[in-house]
Amino acid sequence: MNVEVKTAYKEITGRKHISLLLISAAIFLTFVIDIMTGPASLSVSEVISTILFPAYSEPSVQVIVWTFRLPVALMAIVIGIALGLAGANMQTILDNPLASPYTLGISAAAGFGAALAIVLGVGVLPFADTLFVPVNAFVFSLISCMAIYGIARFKKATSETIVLTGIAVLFLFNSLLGLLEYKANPEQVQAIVFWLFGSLTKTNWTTLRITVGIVLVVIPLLAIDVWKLTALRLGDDKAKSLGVDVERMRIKGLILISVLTATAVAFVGTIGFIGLVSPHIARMLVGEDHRYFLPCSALSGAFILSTASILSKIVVPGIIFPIGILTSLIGIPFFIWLLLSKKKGYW
Amino acid sequence: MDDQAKTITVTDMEGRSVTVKVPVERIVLMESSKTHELAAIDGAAIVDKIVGWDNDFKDNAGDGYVKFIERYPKLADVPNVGSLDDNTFSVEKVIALNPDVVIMHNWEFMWSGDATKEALVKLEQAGIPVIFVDFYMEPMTNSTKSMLLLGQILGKEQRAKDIVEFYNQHVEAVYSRLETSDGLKPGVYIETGYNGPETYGITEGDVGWGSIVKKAGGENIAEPLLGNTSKALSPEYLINQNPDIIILTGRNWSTPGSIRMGYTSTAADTKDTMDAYIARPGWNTINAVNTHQVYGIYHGYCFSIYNFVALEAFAKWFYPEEFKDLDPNTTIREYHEKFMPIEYSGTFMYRNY
Repeated sequence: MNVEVKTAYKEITGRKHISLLLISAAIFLTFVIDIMTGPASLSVSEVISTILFPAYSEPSVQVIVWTFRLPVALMAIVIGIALGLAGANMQTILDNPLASPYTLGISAAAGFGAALAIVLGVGVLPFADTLFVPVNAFVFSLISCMAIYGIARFKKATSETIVLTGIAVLFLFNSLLGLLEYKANPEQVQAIVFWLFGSLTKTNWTTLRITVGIVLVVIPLLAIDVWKLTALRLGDDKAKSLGVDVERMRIKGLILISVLTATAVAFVGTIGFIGLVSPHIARMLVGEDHRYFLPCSALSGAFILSTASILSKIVVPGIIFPIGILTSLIGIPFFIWLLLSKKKGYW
Repeated sequence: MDDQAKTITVTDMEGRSVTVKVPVERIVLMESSKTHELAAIDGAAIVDKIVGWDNDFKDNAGDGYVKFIERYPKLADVPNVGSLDDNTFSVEKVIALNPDVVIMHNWEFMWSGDATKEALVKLEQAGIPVIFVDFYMEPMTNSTKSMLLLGQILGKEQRAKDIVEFYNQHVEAVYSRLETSDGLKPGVYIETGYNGPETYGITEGDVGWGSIVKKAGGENIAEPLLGNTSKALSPEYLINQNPDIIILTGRNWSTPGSIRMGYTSTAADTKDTMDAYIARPGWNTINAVNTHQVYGIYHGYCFSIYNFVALEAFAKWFYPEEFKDLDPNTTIREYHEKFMPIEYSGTFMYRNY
């Protein structure tokens, strides 16, 4: 490699590093604002001293900061990372800019699982307790992922087949959900609707730890494939000629995606949009090199959800506002602006 | 309509003038849990008069349903005519049942306005009168008016008056004592214990439960935020408001972890489900929890004639000194003995000690 190429390469990767640094800084900022925001007006010093010395603060302030604000603020970031990663991976392995856990019905399946649990309730299943709802969401998202892949594989796993199967799954679970809501009584419908829009407020340290744990397991599994995934973006044939086992990549990807989506839906409900948009933002910022694309997509997801978390508390202070509504409401204009401001096509 | 003597014109709770043949013998009852109110007025005879209803009684108020079915198995065969709420209401089926009257609740205008108006037109064309009652918009004043209206069409005016008198005696006893009381109003949080402890259920501003809290002399902490709507509060807001009293409503809902109360629940069921709510993160910092002032109330007491029992219970909980001699449990038992064809059983009120 000659010197000029090396310099150019360094310059390009340097810019990518700066992008990642800037977005990380932005997340830190939204995180700080997030823990400062809430119906109880706490001063900056109160919040900081409670975080640093919880034992010396008033019990109610301690509860507000440690039980509600910190886990929620962290959950926003972790779920954002999970959905950003899931979306990025999905768009790559399916070679389709429309792919996301939400558009391909995985979230819908998880939502249906949750709704089913709400309607069936404890009366029907003897082992059911309050974990029943998230667990059911998890089971159904895995089922949908396997169904998408199984059906696609039965014919031939081209990306178009998989995307179309996913869309079929989306409609199937939406109809099943409609059927459930039709059969449910008004209180059940309200519980289902609220669940479907997603909310971070149910977060506690346990669900946060589980989510962090799962994301930490998935990240290295994706990280070892960054070169293969980059090759996959050149097309199936090129990737195959470079020695990538394309089909294996797809199975592995779908399993990881369903794990990430199910975790998110199980603990915070269905939050659409982030899985679809974060990869596009990442692609605009750092391009297709998956060493930068994957982390950037994860960070974009974290940034959007963290911002939405702040806004959900400002819109109607004191009342629980479903965050899924906000991610779409604030995300879509931003996304369209990004699309329009981009000079050339990027997919 | 040759039998003029038996036809009267009443004004229903929507202010509509409706002409009905009385006493009505064939009734289609929408919001079928109102069987409680009809049975109080007409006794066991009502069982033979309800010829069609919706699934509300079975689905939303099942403990009372079970109680009624046990006593009157025949009710299990009453045909379902569907519901306006979810567009399953079948005018054709109602017409086929040939009722003397259809009894509806006027919240249908709030929830299913156009569908309701459409159904009304069709029923009018078929010559079937529709009467609207109200136990929701202004629960503490319109519930008794609705009872008198039902008494009129059932031809049991005196009985309805007796019930209303019983109601008014109890309600006025509470009001008059609240007037003389100059105690500080306790901050109250009331939540529908439907979702299970993980998810905060809805609470109301100055409607439904919220309005009963206000009438009983409580300061509803949700009212400044909600006005007259109902939504879920954020846990942080609740902790920050630090209410003196928390009331959770219960029924035999199917949701995992929901508060269990009513005709078919024991105090132990209620305690188990309430304990899980009380163990919610941060609740150990709330006054109500630390002074053991977390109460349970039967959800069926709202939006029904039973709301006066809730008023009594709330007043007693808010001002224990002033209402030391008042026992809402005796009131509800007495009401059942006097007016209801079913027996009083189960858990309707609960305090966490």
